[in-house]
Amino acid sequence: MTLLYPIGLLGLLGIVALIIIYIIKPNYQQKAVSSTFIWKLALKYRKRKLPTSNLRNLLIIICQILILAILALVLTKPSGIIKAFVQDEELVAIIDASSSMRTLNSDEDSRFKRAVEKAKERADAVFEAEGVVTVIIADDDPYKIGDKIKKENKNTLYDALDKMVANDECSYSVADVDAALRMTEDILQENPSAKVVVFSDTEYAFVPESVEVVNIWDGSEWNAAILNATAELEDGYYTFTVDVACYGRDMDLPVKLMVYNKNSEDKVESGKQTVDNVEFNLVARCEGDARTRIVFRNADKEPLDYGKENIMRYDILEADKVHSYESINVALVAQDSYKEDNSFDIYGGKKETVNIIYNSSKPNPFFQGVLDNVSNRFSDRWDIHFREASENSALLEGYKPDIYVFEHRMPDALPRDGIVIVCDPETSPINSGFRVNSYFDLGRKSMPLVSSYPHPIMNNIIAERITVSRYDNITYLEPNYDVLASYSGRPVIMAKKIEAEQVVILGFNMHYSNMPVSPYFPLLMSNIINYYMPPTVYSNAFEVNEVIALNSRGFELTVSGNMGEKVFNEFPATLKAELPGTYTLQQTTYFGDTVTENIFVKVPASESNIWAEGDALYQPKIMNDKSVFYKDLLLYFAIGLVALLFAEWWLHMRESKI
Amino acid sequence: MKVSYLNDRFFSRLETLALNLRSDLRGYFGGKHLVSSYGQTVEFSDYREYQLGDDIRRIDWNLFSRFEKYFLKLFTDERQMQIQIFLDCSGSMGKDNPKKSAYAVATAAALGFLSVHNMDKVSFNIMKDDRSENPFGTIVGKTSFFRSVTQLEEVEFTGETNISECVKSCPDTSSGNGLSVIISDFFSEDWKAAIDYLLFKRRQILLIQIMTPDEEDPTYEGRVHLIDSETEDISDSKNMKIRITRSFQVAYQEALRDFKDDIKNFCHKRGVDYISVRTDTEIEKMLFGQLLKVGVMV
Repeated sequence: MTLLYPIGLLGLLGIVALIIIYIIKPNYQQKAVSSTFIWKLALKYRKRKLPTSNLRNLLIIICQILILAILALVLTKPSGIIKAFVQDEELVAIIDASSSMRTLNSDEDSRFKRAVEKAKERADAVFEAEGVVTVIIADDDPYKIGDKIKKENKNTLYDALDKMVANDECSYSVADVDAALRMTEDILQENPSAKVVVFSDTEYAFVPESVEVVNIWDGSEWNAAILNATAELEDGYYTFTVDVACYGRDMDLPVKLMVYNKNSEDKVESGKQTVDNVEFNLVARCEGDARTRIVFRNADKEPLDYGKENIMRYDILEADKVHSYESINVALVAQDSYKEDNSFDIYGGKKETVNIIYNSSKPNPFFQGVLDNVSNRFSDRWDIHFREASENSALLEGYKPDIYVFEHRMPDALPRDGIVIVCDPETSPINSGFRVNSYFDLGRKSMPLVSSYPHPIMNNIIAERITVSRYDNITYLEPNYDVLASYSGRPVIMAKKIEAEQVVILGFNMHYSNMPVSPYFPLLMSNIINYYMPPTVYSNAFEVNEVIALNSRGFELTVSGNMGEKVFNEFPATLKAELPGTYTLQQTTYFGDTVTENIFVKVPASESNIWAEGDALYQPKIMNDKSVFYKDLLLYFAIGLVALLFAEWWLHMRESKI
Repeated sequence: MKVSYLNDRFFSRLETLALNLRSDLRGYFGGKHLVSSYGQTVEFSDYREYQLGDDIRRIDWNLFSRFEKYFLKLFTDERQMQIQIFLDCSGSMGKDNPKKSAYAVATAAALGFLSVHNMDKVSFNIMKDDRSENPFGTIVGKTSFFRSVTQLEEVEFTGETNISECVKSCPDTSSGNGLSVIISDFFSEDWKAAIDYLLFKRRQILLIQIMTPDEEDPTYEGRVHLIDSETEDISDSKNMKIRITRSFQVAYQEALRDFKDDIKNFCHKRGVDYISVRTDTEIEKMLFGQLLKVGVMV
């Protein structure tokens, strides 16, 4: 036990005061009585007791002294020692494990390897002084590889570090050095004299006094980097934008852009022989670590407004125009020190085709119009084709619908190989899960629908603004259907999604509703497509360790890439790609179609600048909180105090009774 | 603060009462108390045979005609009594408790009033130290009584009192001629000799013990230096240092009870009337209750 505020012991003077009070206080209180005659008689009647009175008085005084002593000790804040301050030699080595630490020098040694070597050198000195060493690997989620390692265990620590170097375990992401410094706070709290050394390739503008930064730069290092690459549709043809930079050297940088399987649809539809792959080469001038943007654009396009940006243009000839592609690879032809950003793949050049067939006994232009709208809306994701069932059967030959729209006239059974949208059903197909019997006519009144509960299909749609004057009398609806909107307690819009049973029912006639002229109609169709055909990923390019949201239209999704193969069964799922490169996402939809997509995971662009400068390092906060080291004993003293007060009260009670 | 119970209303209520004295007292001529001796009143009492020397006018001739013997007709006698009121004026009776002394004075005054109201003589004997004083002389009649009572209220209660010596030294104690009342707290052992002396003088005796509630039921406790009101010096042996505890208070109650029982037994054996009153008892309740109960009043 230790006393955090020893000055509180002055409270012990209270004991002296107590003793003085005992000395000077009148022992007997004077009381004038008319006669002491009876009192003297009473002396003979008093029962003889054991002489415990003196002992009791002594105990009372002892209790009072102890009470005062405890009160004085409480003032000193008594505490138990949990752990003691340490003054030993201690090193906390933070090794930057960001992707830029993979930069190789002229000896083909990576910065990470050099950082490890330097850390080991510093550790050796500490071990010689019988100190302890803690090593923190600072990637995007820092962790300790050794905690307070003593001399006798140093080989274990070195082996672990060497193993990291040998296995190339330096990360491909950024380093959260600040988080690593926060991890040192506990150590510094315990041992304020511990040395924190950061082995990094970043030059910081401000380094806290308690931290030392050892820079791992080597003058021979340089990096030619592809910072980003995109492909955008421009009047039906792709324009490619590539950002490159060269850090540590000014040079003319050869850039190669290879388009694979270009315009493959042309080959299928026209039967002509077309070139599958096309290559564009350009030499980009890179100076002063500045970014240079290269735009690969059709030659017939107007000149670019260069402005202040460092932009170069590559004109794509008519014959090389690209309106679809399987993949694009952008590569730098350079023997630089950092290889991870010399290649970049672009995917998403081939859109999946979605065939919609419209089958109506009384066709109207509403569905055609709304699907045109939706087609434009999803043009970057889907290639939507629309056919009417009443068209020439030759046109429908080989046309496999993904979405069926049935209006008024219903088939005998609903198809199970696509999404089915049923509008104003006159009959009930055998496997539809609903029964319809005529309709309810509200006369000339148009009544608003009532929304049931939030559903993805009704996102941003206010059901109360959709009116109907006639709606179908749905007499039976199987429980798998979710009622999305109703009128007078009867279902009007319903949907279900049970594996291959993906049906939406619009239980009203378009002619008796404001739906066709409502802005909610295209929104409803978009929501239907988004709900039943969610995109697997929302982009084709990600950074290392970025959390990628995955979705699927089937039972499972297989992701294969540098990290191996991983199967997801529950959606939405997330993927954290720790390695750069191409990942293939493959799934089989509920309707039996196999869908394959690729994504490219690149190292963060910030890591390409191997001479990066940081603003300020985090300053580890050493809390002046003694509670970390001491356990407050006030509770126990309070318990003792209460017990003594009770004992003293009891002794007083006994004294007055006897 | 001076406490007084004496006022017109107090005395007017007493007019309905009278002292009931023993009939074997002799007294003096002219009073209202019927006595066992025969006198010259008109109230018939008894017959006896004629003896030589008797007044022949008192012979009952009707009986002579019937028995041919001479019988005298005897009549009861009424006497005036001498009421002596001994008032203990020691410190214990009121030095620190004016209410106790006022209560004692009021009791003495009430008995004195009853005496003069019934045409008896009364004397107030102030007992102090070893002697009693009768500053007002023998009082007959209400005028002199009220004059005496006014002065009686001014009496100081100090010092000690030896009751037996006081009673014995009383100059006008004659035999068998009335009632002697001792008003005191009897916080001493010497009073018994006074009773024996008065019995020897064949007087009817009434002891009135007056106590305060504090004396009956002391509430103080702890370490107490009890200062006796009759002492002058703090080192007097009457003063005592004690630690009063609950058990000591119980012992006090037992001692007090035994003390009272002792007085009661002593009085009972000797045919002496005794009452003990607390000063928080209404004085009318004492007069109309306890004194009526023991038969001193009717």
